[in-house]
Amino acid sequence: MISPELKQVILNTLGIDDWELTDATLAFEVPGWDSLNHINVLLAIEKHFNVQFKNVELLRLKNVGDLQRLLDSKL
Amino acid sequence: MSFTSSEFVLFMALCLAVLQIIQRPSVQMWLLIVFSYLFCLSFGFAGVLVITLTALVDFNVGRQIENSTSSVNRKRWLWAGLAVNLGLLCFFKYDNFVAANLNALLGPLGVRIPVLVQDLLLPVGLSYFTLAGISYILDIYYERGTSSKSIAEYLCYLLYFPKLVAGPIVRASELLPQFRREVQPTAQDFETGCAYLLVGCVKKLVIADQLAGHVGMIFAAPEQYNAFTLLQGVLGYTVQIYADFSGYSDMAIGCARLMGIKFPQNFLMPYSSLNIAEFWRRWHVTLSTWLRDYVFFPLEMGSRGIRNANIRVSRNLLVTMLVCGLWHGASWNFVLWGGLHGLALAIHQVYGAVFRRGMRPPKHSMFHPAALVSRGLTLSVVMAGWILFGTATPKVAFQYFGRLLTWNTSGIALGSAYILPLTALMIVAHLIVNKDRNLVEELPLYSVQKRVVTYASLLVALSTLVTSNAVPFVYVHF
Repeated sequence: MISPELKQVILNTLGIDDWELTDATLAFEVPGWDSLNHINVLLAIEKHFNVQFKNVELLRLKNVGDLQRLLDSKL
Repeated sequence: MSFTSSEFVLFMALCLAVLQIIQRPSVQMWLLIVFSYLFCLSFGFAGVLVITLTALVDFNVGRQIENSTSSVNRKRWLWAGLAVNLGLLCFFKYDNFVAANLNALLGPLGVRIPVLVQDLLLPVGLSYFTLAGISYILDIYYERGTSSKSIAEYLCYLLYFPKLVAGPIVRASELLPQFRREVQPTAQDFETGCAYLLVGCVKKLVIADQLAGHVGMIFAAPEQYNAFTLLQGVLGYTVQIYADFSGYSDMAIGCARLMGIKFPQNFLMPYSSLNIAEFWRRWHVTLSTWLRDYVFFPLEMGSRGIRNANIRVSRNLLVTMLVCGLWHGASWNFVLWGGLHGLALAIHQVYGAVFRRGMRPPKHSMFHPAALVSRGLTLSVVMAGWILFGTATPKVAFQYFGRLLTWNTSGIALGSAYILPLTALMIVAHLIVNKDRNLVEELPLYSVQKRVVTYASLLVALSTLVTSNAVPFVYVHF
């Protein structure tokens, strides 16, 4: 389950009003979340939640559910 | 053994017949290995040795990474696997290039670096199976995939003959599960496979090979031709390389589909792209996604300290495309080609950040003036790149640019009956066909009449318009 706060940070960074994000959502399925924007989304999450991800943790991510679990493990 | 040779038709027919007779998945896997080794052997023994060595190393490295509990050990095995894969690639592919450049640099000091391996020994498919092996090891390291439990399965993945010579670069996670099932194509698989083969043959034999003669002459000595001929040359090469490589990919996809194996698409109407980033999402898709996942993303993660997104992304795009250029071949032309695309992608990124948030494709019609200008601009950059890509040395490329851009009217005017009509055909096809549809996949769903007319037209084209000179596939050399 994706938290409303994480969803809001992602959507704000991508500049879109609303989009359904589930555990299984893949980055490229979300408008604007392309390879060039990927790191901007992750940086925005780090800044908003005041957490620090390791490179290898980010490279392991397969979907938005993985991102939520990684974030939960840091909070 | 080329896909378009009569030997390959017999080879493929025999392979399909044997797979139909013996339907146990484990035996079918060994049969595919035997057929793949025979195919590989037809290109020489070097490929057989190197691919077997690579498979043994990758398989063991994958198991070791997965079974190691210590992160230090996992990293050591990762580096060992990468060193073997990249070491073999560099040894066979870049030895000449490095030695020649070092000799040019150090020659005045009396230092001479020997060339260890000649080009002729380049193992077949080296560039492709190296990328497949690296993605397999990295996916296990990053825990995005699991290791193969049997060496036969991994060998089959790396060797599988439809993709051996020039891709598509299929990931282990896409192919291994398909090998575990029985190789049993449905009637629709069989028809789709045949359709891919027919379309691929028409692209290669009717379009690319018809252009190859004239285009080859113009690119070999551009200083001899006038500007209009040079313009035809670059237009012709733009069509030829697309028809050649996408035709090859179609045939590879078709061969695999005849066995019920699905490959990812490699070309998605790339010349209809509205910007250079979209072009790279549509051209040689399996390579560009590989570069994105295993070069660009790690670079991005590693440079998070650079807070200026434009500088960070531009730098990483440039590095990624230089790697892309070097992957294509050991020559400064490919480095310059990669650099040009990297620069274009960086400019697109900065333009998007400054002027248009997100750079979403415009929603208006493809015939809207803004869309036509965007397509024209993108295609101009791509065509400039093809001049670098298709000429032998940077000097020849710059002669080409010089004579074309100054519209030099002196020199030979070479007339070709094919270049302009085939270019017009390609432009019209890219303008009217919906770039997000795959017509070959849709073909078996059409009415019988439509399918008969389509297949008959393709067969008529093949039987009447094929050139007598067999031209090797362009991307086989990479």
